[in-house]
Amino acid sequence: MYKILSIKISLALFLVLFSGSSITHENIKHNIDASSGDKCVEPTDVMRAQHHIFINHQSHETVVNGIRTKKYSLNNCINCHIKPLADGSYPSVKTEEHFCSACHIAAAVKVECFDCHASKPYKKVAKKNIEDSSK
Amino acid sequence: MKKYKIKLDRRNFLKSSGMLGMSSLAPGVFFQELAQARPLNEPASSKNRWGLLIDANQCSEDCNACVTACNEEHGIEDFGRPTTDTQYIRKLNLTHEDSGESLTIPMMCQHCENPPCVDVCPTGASFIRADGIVLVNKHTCIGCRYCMMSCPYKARSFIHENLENQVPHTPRGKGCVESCNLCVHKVDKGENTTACAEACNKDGHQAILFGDLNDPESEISKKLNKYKTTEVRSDLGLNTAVRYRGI
Repeated sequence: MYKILSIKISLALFLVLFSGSSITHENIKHNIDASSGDKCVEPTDVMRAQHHIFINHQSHETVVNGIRTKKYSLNNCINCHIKPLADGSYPSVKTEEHFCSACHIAAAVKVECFDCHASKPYKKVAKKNIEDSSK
Repeated sequence: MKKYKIKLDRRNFLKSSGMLGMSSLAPGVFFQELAQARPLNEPASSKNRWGLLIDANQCSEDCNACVTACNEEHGIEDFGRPTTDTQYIRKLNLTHEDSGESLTIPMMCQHCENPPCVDVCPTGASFIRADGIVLVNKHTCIGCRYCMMSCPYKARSFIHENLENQVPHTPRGKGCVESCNLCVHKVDKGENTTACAEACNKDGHQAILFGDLNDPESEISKKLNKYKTTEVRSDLGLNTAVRYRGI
């Protein structure tokens, strides 16, 4: 009786773990093109693991000390990573088409940055991106 | 960073007036380097103290350009609830009870040197930057609104609504207190102006002048030297960075 049960459980575990339906960054499709540059400010694996630490640190530097270097600035992330959709509008942060939300929705991590921060590029940058995408 | 200088007894007065005399003897030596814009990677410095001079004689009662420009600059929406909607600047129309003389001025955060909002903040979210700009660190603000109660100028607003489409240089969100930030993003870029001052100049009133109070060569310092100016509620000893002329 217990033997059959343990076989069933291990079979179920095997299916869950190795069925190939698990979510990795590789199978999330990002709406990003090469026009913004060929690489991010740090290697991809570093950014995946530590982007929140960089952004958090930078936010303190900017708000309290007035340091506005671009490298780890959230606005800089947004300007590169958020690209207009086919109709020229920017994806909402609530949808998976938004660069940040694609992973955060898949990983069920609530991102609160955009309760206050702009989730899409601003005016001049916005205009340039739309022009780029229409070329 | 914080300098509390409210206690002005005879001894301190003599000391500080002596220092003032010394610094005015050789202004070129002390202040020559102040006028240059700060690089992006350098923190704000106490060498500067940013402020505004508002000339009530130039301000027009039917003009609202500074308020409109401020709202546009910081992405402030109108929810049609004037009692709770955010206002960084508001226009005040005052009439003297006896003489009937009327006056109109813009009122905003006065960027005090001894800000009551900083004193009462339980989390340290309300703070004064090295260059004298009083800000709210919205990462730390819990929305308790003590600062709103303590501010003698009613300069602060609370965000009651969920917001979307904020502008990148002014992050704002529900549950935080906010107020005029003296266009800190412009100051950090070295633009040396604010949205309200720009709009006022554009409309030809020239009633708002932005500048460095610590730099004796700046236009604002020269005007403060030349004309009689007033701090609103100077009796509180807050040493505001926003000064008024003609009130």
